[in-house]
Amino acid sequence: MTPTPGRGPDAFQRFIPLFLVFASLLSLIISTRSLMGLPERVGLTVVGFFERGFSAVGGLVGDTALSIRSLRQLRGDYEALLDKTKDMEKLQRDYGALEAENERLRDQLGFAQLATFPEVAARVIGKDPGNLYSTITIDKGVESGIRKNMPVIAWQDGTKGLVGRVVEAGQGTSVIVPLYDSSSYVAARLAKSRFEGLLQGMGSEDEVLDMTYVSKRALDDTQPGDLVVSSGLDSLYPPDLALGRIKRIDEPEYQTSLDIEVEPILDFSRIEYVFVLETNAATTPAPPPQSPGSATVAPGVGP
Amino acid sequence: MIARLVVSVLILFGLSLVQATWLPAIAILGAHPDLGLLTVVWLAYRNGPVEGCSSAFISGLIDDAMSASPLGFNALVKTATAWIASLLHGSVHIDRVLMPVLLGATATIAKALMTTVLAFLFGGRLESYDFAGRVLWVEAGYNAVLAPILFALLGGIFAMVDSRRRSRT
Repeated sequence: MTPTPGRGPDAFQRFIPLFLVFASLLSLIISTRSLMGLPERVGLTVVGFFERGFSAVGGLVGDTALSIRSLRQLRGDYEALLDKTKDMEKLQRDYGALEAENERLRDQLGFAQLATFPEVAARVIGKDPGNLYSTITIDKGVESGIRKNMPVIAWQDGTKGLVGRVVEAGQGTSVIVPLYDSSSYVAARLAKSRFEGLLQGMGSEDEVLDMTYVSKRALDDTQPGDLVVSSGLDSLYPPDLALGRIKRIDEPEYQTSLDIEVEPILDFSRIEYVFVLETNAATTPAPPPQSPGSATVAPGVGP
Repeated sequence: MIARLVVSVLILFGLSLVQATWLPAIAILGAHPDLGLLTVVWLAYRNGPVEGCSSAFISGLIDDAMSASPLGFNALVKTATAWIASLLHGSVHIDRVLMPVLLGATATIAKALMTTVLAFLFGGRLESYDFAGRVLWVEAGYNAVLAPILFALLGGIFAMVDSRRRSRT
């Protein structure tokens, strides 16, 4: 029997690519209107399981190669740390006294205590498979209490800084959008002069962050090297998390505000472990008092 | 066809995981190669539009699940790229080096063009490549260099799959 032209399996197969393109487009239309959180979460949960496995294998190979060199370094570090411990003991005594004094003074001035949040430690297991988006995948998810929009911080060289926020939480993995992503905006503040602004990522971890909407009145009190912290006004990130240091200040004549280039406080290419702050918009603490010098920035991150 | 499709999807799934976990370590100037895209191009060229587009669609959905991109973004870009690449199916001979290099670079640029069009259509909800930036060109170069090696590997794998099927029948 001769098949009718334009019908039968061949004609059907011809429409499969078209159908798939249409299905992707439809999915894109729906998901960009944020109606499809569930499939993405399910996908992340399934894929995340395998991603953790691949990351573990990669980590094992890398760790083995580095372990010999690390052992040699560890011996030297051990000696150095013993010396440092002695210094730290003395510092700790001083710090305890200062903390008590600070608390007394805060009580006297009637300042509210800054809230602290429980932290979930997580390991970075992957990055975005493409070059277009700049996400980071961690090995903790909903089962560890992580939810969408929780802020993520990291410690690096004794400095605590903001990494970004959770955009998707699967069962055992979560996806973070880092500070440098071009879709990332953080309500920021100059730690010294307390002027507010908006910090935006430029899309690459090698590039600086862009701080805008800073009043030109801040120019006299601002200089390169000054610390930029979160203001907490976006109800997403807690206040006074270190974001970066000012690299360059521009004063465009045609604008009423300054344009400030900010060097991120963290080197994102070296981040291995992060801490997810278990907070959300409803539990974010009130912004700190507006008086100069009231910032409670992590040790080693002075303005 | 089903066996080849299953193998294709498994390879693409593995490559997506490799891209997310291992390849960032070999990134040059912030860009790493897109092995999934190269594989999709090769599959579409070798196996035709149905298998090429089907595996590209599934691979794109896997990438979307691992990324901050909206569901459907990578699926659309990869399926469309596979469709274009499938036009070469049965009509153009791919040699060992020159054609893979050209295909690797061209597919990357085609992907960048598609993301630009989509970003325009969706009003900034999507990210797109900066044609004046270095990421696109480094990725295109990376893909061009790796395409001959990857195509040779894929050729070997699928030759094995086909010979097994023939020996069974």
